[in-house]
Amino acid sequence: MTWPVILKLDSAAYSLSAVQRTAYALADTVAIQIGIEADQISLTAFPAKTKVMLPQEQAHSLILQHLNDFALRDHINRETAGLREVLARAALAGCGVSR
Amino acid sequence: MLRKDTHFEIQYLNEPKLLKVITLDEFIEQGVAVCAGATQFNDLLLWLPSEDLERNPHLVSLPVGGFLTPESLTSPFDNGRLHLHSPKNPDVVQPGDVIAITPGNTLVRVLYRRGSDSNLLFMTDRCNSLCLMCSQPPKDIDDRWHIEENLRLIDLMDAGEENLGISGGEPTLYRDGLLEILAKCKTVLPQKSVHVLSNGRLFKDPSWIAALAALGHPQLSWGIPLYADNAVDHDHVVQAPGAFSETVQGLYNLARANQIIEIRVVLSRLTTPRLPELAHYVFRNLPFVRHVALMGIESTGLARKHYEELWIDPLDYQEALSQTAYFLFNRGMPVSIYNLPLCLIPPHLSRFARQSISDWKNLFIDTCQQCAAVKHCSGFFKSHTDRWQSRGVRQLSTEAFSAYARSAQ
Amino acid sequence: MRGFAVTLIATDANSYRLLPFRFMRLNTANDCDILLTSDTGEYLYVNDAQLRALSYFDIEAGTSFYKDLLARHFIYEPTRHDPFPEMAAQYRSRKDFLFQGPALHLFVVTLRCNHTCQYCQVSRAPLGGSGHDLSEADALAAVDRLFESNAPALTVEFQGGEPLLAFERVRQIVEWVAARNLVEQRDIQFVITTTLHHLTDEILDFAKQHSIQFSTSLDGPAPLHNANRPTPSRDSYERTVEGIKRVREHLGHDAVSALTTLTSRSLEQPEAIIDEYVKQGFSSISLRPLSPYGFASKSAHRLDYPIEQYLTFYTKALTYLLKINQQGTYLSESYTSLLLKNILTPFSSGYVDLRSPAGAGTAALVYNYDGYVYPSDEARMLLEMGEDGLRLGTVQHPLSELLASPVMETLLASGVAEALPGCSDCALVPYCGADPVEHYARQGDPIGHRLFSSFCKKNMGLLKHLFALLRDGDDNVQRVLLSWLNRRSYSDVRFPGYRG
Repeated sequence: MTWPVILKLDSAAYSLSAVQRTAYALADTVAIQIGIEADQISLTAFPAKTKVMLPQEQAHSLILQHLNDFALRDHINRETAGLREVLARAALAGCGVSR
Repeated sequence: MLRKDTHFEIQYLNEPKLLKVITLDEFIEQGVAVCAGATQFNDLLLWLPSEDLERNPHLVSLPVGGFLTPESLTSPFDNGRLHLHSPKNPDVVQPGDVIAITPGNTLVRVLYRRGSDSNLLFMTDRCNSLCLMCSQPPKDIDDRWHIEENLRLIDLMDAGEENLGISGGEPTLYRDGLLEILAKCKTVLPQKSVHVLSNGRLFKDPSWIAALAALGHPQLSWGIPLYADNAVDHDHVVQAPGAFSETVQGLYNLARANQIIEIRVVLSRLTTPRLPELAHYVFRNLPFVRHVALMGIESTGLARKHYEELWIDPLDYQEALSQTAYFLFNRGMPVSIYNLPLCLIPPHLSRFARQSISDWKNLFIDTCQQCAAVKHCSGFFKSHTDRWQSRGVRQLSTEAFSAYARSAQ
Repeated sequence: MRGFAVTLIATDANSYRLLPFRFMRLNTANDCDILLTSDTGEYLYVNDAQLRALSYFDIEAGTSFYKDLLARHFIYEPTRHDPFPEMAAQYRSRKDFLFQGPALHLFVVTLRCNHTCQYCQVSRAPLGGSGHDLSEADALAAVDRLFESNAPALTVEFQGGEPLLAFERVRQIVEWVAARNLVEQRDIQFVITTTLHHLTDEILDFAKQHSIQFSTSLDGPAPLHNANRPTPSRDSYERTVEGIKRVREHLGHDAVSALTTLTSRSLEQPEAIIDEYVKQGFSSISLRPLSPYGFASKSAHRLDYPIEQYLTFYTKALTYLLKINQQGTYLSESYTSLLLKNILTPFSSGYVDLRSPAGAGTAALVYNYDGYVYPSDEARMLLEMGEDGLRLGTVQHPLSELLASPVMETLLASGVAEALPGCSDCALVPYCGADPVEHYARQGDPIGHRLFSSFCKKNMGLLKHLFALLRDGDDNVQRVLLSWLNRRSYSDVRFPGYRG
């Protein structure tokens, strides 16, 4: 085990779900431990088995990019909440698939 | 170009009439059966050149609605029956045609021309849109009488398989009348394919689905204009807020009724900048569309008034036209270019160009006279003026035209 | 579209609102590196600034970008136009396959085979083996199941082993189906998947009578094909090529198509494989990676390869295909054509592996030689490996029971890509599918983890490559791809037209 990348995130800026999805999306690159403390989410990342040569700064910026992308997806999903389901229901009425 | 009206001298006309012009041979061989629908002898107007009249003066006792002599009478003739003669233009009315005449008026209108593919049932002058380039500005009048006239006209037509158009104004404004006419076309003129021009807005009402499905006309198609891939631009062109939404919903309802749909786009300064995007929108959202017609503008009616807003030299939208036509063609959606002379499109688009202008308003200008492409070209509308003429109008040499001909294969 | 009563109404002063969309970074050098996609398959390439502006209501109305977003249903103007009818129509076109029952019915008439391929996807039985053929009673029941599907167009495919070794059963089934169809009036296509080594004039005459298509395997030039497909006489290639010739002479050029199996050996020679297909006069080639089934997993150490190696191979092969197509040889790659249909049209290819909900069972059914019914060819291969968890029941159960089986429930519960971890945020999900059987085979779990999924890596790799080509490829590359879309000649697609 080499470096960890440690981030303390304001939970008003990043949802737990965004952090979890980041951990999922980077699972082949870094192994991430997530902790919750009051209004902060902590994130500790270690290089994955096959990525021990990954420089720490690169891992850092990769994690941040994913966090920000997932935070943006959160925002988009909030703005469009419910529409996807209504669309699928309207479009698929009569095909026998209930979603 | 052969006009659809001319003046005759008319004797003994007491009421407005719709009459089928018929030759003596046809009258003898077929009688009223020359017409597709139910008719009587007095709906017929016997074609009687002076020569025949002089040779067989007793013909005027035949039990028909009247007589038409396509030239001046050599000697005065008066037997107290309806007689049309001395036409200003003798070519306009021919045997087989259906004409309309009214008392006190020397104008003879040809409502049906035998063998022509441009015959039209005109439904109304009314419209719920006010398109900037409208070639026939709408009038706010009650002209329901067109319905009766068209029903009558259908009876008097030939039964042949030419195309028949239905247009306005907005034909769907007289919903019941239109449905009645379409039903009659199906029964009386089963060989004719019928193409209705409509802005499609009223089809937003889903009750049309059942009505059209019940009609079940096998050769009916709808030409619906769509001028943009977004509501703001489309609504501006048709000068009607909400029109885009209504037309789009109307198109879906027509599709639900399994109707054959053509999208028509009039090319102007307003519609060409996003023409490829419009094609994208049509293909993605309306893939059931059977044909897209990209149409050069007709410089008449309201279009003249909005010259500044509408005019763009076709040379300046060649690229957009090419992008659009090939986008659709490559995705298997049939596409045509209407009303643009061949000299204004690049050779590689000639495969899409059609001779689209109705015979009665088609014009070839002086430049066209020596052009090698003239027999294959759409030419111009009779309303064409210098102000609406592209800087690219030119004669194509035989060599230049061969590139177009090769490309069209 | 009936029965939904949602009116889209603005909740604040913004002139536009967002519609559901996903985004993905393509990691290319292009300035517009982010791919936006809607659930209905519309897409747009944007840059970071545009994505932010879009998401935070900062796009200026009236600009062409604003109109693009409106027209492709990424945003809408609540006071101006309700895009729901269009979106619902698009969604329905894309999921149209849901409105039909299974259309592909595979009959495994025997497991016997004359080949001893190391990678064989199905375990096989020796030529003279017994107890490895579909019984008459089971075959008859399977025909009943076939017609219980409401699909108007049905494909009846005969598989093995080598199905021509059980030709009498094939003949029986075809005749039963044809007789039933006099009443049923479906559009039925018969296909026999075969090495063509056991063709006879009798078989060819019968095939002609019933317009039967042949699907064979051709792995490349003779040395590669024969190394991949050992037979005692070491002439698999020669006999297959001879078979192709005979089928064409009897039934016409297009009566036979071929599939390629790619071993690690094959990955070194994309051009030689393609040249072989050109030489044999095929108009399509199918470059599919090895599946983790049958004997393939057991000999994985020798024959299997990481999916990344396949992607490198695919890129090389596609580049070469694009080149020869531009030189006037029409040869399309069939999986690419399916993906292009998903990307470039409002429709779905309907291909079993590219469906969500998953196509296993809903699109295809396999009637195994032993009378059991499986949701896919791959699911029955798991059985031959010793996994018996994925059968739906026996051919004696009615279709409704088979499709309501616990296995189908599990597959469907993990078969909706839009709802799966990883997939639900992926911008490529409208063009992709869910393959729970594959994930079960590879990861021991029908959902699996996307980051370690070769299904995911393959489809992501291919789709990203195609999206980059569609954006950056020159006009002639576009022309080839478009010619594959509608199977038109390259010269007929004279200009690519608007790229969309």
